[in-house]
Amino acid sequence: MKKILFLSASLLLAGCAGTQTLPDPRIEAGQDYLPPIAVMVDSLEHGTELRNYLRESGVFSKVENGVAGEGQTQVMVKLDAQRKVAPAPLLFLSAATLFLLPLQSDLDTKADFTVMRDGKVLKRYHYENYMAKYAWLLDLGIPEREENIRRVARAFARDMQAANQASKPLEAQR
Amino acid sequence: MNNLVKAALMAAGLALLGGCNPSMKPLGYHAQKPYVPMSLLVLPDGYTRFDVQERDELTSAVRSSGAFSFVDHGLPRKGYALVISQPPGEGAGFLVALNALTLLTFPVPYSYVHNLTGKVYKDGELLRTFSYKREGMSVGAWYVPPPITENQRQMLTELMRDLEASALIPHVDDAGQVGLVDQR
Repeated sequence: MKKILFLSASLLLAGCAGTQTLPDPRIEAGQDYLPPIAVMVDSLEHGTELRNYLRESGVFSKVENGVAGEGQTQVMVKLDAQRKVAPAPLLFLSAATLFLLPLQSDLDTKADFTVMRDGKVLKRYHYENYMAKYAWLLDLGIPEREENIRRVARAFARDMQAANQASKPLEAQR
Repeated sequence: MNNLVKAALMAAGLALLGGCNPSMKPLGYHAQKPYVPMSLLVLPDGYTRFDVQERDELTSAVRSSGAFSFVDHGLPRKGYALVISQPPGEGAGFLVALNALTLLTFPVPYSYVHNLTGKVYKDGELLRTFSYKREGMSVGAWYVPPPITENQRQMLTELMRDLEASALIPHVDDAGQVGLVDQR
């Protein structure tokens, strides 16, 4: 009995860990803050979250929402975060076991960042992050979903920092 | 009870649960030219599951009119914003709730007042308020769809038409803003 319990516990603990395809970006500490940016996100659910993660990254001196002023950097984000959940019959099966049966609860995120200044596009970044996760009653996978968005935001912050460090300020493309 | 009756009851139950959910039809307005990137805020922003569902439904109804080139959510300090809210009106009251005793079969009449307000902001300052109201009578019974969905649709349609006519929010220029609209 003990063995079975132990086995199922370790299976739940080990097998249900969420994985992300985008590695956690390393942001260098001790750099100067980048000038303020104004960020607009085309997502009802994750817009505020994404802006908060950009603030949390510590790369920008200020992250505002809305439209940028003259000479200020504007970032437009098309964020498409799709939940992938198990099909309905499996969901019912899991409900019948009081959600002890782990279920697929993935998040597929694709994000396009467009960096602009004074109406001109300076650069575009594209990120994809797929979070795979089996969720059950005591582990719904909410931190993993947040981590998914967080990594996308941090990847963008890192790339902006790198672009700035290369000491060639972003030039207009056209 | 034999199996046939059971199956019929089950099918009828599923049809009632699934088929009678009145979802909003598309607005009777389609934009010729989208507005510049702006913010949209539908209130209440969501405390309960029903709030969130209603917010999402209204948001997608407004967005599907094609009036927006790029929508951010929230109230920004800079740029244009449209805030849509529904001030409290009147709805089905205590009598209709009592009607649950008849399993909502007896048609209990009630009067309703539905409100909808659209506020246009620029740089955090209120430019104009558009208010709409629908009053009428309906009955609370399971076979009569609640009038709120259709009323919301009509009021949103009027709001989007009036917004277009007011010319408060500039449209996307053919020159400078193309990069925003089409990303790839």
